[in-house]
Amino acid sequence: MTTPIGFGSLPLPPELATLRAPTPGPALPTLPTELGGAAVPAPGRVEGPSFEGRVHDFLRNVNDLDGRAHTAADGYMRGTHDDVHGTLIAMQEADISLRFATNVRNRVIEAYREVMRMGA
Amino acid sequence: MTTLGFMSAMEITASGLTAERVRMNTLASNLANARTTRTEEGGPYRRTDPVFRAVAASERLGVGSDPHARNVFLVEVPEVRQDTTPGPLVYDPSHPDANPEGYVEMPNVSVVTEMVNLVTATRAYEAGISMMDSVKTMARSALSIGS
Repeated sequence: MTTPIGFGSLPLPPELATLRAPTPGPALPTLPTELGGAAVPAPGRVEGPSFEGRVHDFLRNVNDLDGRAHTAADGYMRGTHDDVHGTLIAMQEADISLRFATNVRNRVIEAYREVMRMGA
Repeated sequence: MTTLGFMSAMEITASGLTAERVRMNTLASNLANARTTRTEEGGPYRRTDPVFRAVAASERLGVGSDPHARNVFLVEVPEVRQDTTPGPLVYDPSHPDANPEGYVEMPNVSVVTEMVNLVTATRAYEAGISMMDSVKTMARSALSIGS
């Protein structure tokens, strides 16, 4: 009853500081293992990596890919290499992963709004 | 990346593009030296060919946990090998590299063969680019699920 609602360790705005998470309900059925279900903990029983941790890891990965694309483009423009397709592929990978990140972010925000609309 | 996915498909395609780029360089070398009669090792220029080798994706892309990755391969170019077949002897006594009988050994480069290889390499590269575009299209349509 005392778990503060928040996005991992991010501080909540003061007007939301009084919000508290409800006690966890019964465990949800887990996803099949090939979909990574085993690693997803049941609510209230955080054992494996947290959602926050996953988001951090994922964003770090997106950032790495973006960094690789930047380094490749920079190197190409400086003339340190002439790997045209490697550069463009690195940029495509960064583009796809950023689109994915944006998509995930949009859905998380949408879910949050959905919860906020409840009872309205 | 622990299973085969869009990114691994891109890496595999990229390895093919890189391999074709090596081929493009050997073709450029062969065509540029189609009439070169002097080399550092002596004798005429010998044409070169890249050797392509399949490398299992499981050992290169960190997708070893995916059972399908065992039969999926990247391509790499372990070496560029010299073609040692002798070149044609051309009678040209005024040539500086002619032997006492007046014959010059020319490079074993056939411009026609090299042009055919060049067309093949160009098409293979284009196929790789199409592959890349398809992977990108598939990834982007996957991202549109539910929106």
